[in-house]
Amino acid sequence: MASIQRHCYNHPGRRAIGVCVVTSNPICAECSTRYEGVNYSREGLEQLKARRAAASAATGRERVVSVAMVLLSPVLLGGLFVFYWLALRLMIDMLQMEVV
Amino acid sequence: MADASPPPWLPFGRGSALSPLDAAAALVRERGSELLPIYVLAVIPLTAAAWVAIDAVTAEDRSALPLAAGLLAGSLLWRWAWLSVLQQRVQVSLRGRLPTSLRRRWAGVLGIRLVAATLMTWGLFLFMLPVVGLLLGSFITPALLEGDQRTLPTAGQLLRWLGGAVGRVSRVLTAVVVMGLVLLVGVMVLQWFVVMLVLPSLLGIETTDLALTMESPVWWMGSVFAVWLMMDFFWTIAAVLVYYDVQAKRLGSDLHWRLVRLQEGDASS
Repeated sequence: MASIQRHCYNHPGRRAIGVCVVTSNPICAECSTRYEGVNYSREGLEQLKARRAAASAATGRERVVSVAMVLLSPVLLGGLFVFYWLALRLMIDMLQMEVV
Repeated sequence: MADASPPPWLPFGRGSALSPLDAAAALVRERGSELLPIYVLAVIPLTAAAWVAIDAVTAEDRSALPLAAGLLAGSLLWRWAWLSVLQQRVQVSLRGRLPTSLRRRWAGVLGIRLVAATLMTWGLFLFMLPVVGLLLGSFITPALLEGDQRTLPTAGQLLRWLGGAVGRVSRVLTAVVVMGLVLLVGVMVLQWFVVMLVLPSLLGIETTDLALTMESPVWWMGSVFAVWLMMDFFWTIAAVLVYYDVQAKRLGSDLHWRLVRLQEGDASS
């Protein structure tokens, strides 16, 4: 079977040596950067960097929210205690009003 | 009568919104002996707390209210933990092995349930908040057990999905509320019938004292609580089925026909 000859996305006159795993564009030797054993184009590396920064920020936010939830849980539980206490008091008041 | 092969996929909107409730009733009939003990375990502390609260209210003993309120609030964590186990069993019976374990998701489930309970209580001043809290607390366990996605994004996604299925979910909730009211009236009427007619007329038993007891606030509150327990058991199971029904409509998956099969009493899926 004949192999398909691909040309670099940025340099149409040059043969591609691989494909960027992020942009899926064929890239020549000059455009290719090997990072963690994988080929990336310059655009692909920039997109990868942006994705990792976003993921790191999301993880950081979620850690803050998780800590906030742990600290907030006793407050919410206390809120439920107060609510039930007030509701039971109201029920007694209503019973006493009926008797009167 | 169910066919040997699954029925053709029903397009969105054609299936009844109440079909998950029928499927839940079928599931209770088939697996009630397996699911009921878990529910009983879940509500033992709550029942004890409710007993203390009813006793304090009817005796008009304000000094006992902090203990009663504390027991009620504290029993909720135990109840939520075991209701999650119950819902996990229902989920496994519907879709087989789950991608993640409940042990890893317990913190998320309890956290969201706590927020949901806060919405249902303090949110009473705004009509929609208790409903949002009820749905969030009911669906969070099956939602989190679907995968390893993080708790808060899952909860947000769940609220968005529910927002897109408002009509369907509100019909289900209305049906459940009506069922509960009918059950409560039925229980009261049956009690009156037995105490006022059956026992004195057919069995010759003097029921004056029992009739007086039935008119007391303790009896009324106990009866209401007993009916609430029955509806809570049913809703805990039905919530998993409603969740998948909403997902089937949203994802266009084959889970809807599995609900239909369950409704028709076909245990093999």
